[in-house]
Amino acid sequence: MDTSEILQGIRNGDQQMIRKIYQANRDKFQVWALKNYAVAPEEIPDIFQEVVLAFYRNVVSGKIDQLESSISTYLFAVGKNLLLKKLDQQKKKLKLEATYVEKEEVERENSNKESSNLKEAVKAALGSLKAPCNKIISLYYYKEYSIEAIQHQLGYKSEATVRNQKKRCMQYLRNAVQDLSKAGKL
Amino acid sequence: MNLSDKDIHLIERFCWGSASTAEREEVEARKVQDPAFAKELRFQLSIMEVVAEQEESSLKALMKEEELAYELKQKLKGEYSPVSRRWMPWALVASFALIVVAGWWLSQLGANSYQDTFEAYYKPYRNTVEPIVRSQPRISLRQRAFAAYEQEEWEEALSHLDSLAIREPSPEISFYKSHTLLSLRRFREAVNVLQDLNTKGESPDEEALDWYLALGYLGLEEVDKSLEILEAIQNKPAHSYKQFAKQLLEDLSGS
Repeated sequence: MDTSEILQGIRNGDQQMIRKIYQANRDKFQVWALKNYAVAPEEIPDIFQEVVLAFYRNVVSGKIDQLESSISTYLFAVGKNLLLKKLDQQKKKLKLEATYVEKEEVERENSNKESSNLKEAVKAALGSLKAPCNKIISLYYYKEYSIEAIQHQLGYKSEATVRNQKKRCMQYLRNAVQDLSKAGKL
Repeated sequence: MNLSDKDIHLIERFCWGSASTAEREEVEARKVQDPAFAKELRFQLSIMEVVAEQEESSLKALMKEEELAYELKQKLKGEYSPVSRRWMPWALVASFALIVVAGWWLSQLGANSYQDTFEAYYKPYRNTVEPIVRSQPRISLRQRAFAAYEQEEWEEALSHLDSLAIREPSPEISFYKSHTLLSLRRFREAVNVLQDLNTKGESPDEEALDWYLALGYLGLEEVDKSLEILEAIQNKPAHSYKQFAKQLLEDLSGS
């Protein structure tokens, strides 16, 4: 099976392709990362999963249409960026710990709590969505399809119909989130 | 105040990372000045986050399963434990000594016991509830309990977890207590705690509970109960411990 068939398979929702990619690269990635970067072995699983997830997202959203290199080369390039970013963050964190301010921590906690409540409300509202709204929201926000692509995918007559339908779905979500917050269910 | 379609499209482009520099600056300014704009921005970001979580949950379960299979493979190959190259010659000497001692011990024992199989498969459950920051003093009992847990100081961890269970009982504390007991090879007590969580349906990680309960029974040499759980795990299509269970069942059928 060549690379373009694998990418197409992933776009069509075949997650077994990801399983094969995981199995083929997991060990090589560990050896490569430990050899080249100051990273602890126990951190490798999470990093590798982030790499695979980034690859998956880019395939599904169409950011990767075709690859000139192999999938392994692509994964290692993403891994390199991620490892360098992590090492950089660790350095910054060390500096931050030295200038730790309690007030900032309290503010961060409040903000986290607020966004966590909103997230719970959005989760509940999304759970109550029915077709075609659930499909439209997923295509638009996760696969990052354009209105035109959604029109073709779901067989709508015009882009304007999709736009109006999406607007209604979003309004439903806003109202549901507001109602859940008012009812104090969250 | 209601936002215009133009505002909403601007927010969407910002969330997707496709906004221009000028648009990004506009968003940054308006999120401070305009509460309705800031609210819509938070709303859109939450939708993206939650939709991604929902879309990726099965993929994450698949990767978790693959990771466990990988760990198991490495463990069986004897490579899982991260030993640095500096210690490799000593590790080889120690391994050789261990093989000699183990060989003598097994010859004394006459047969490989189920507890040996437990040792081959058991790995303490990771602390995923109380992040331990090494540079910070561990003040609370909870922090001390989980710090001891992470450092595999099992007796100390058990003592703190017991105190916590009295002060603030929760399924989470019981769950980690059961793992501490397994690590101390106090199988009967560990199984009792796990069974209790199972009966009440309160385990913070139900799939892990299945697996560790099967291992607990193996440690107790109550093999029928262990096999029953392992077969149930193997028959579930997306169980995180499916590969482990499959391998263990194969080992047990060969022993």
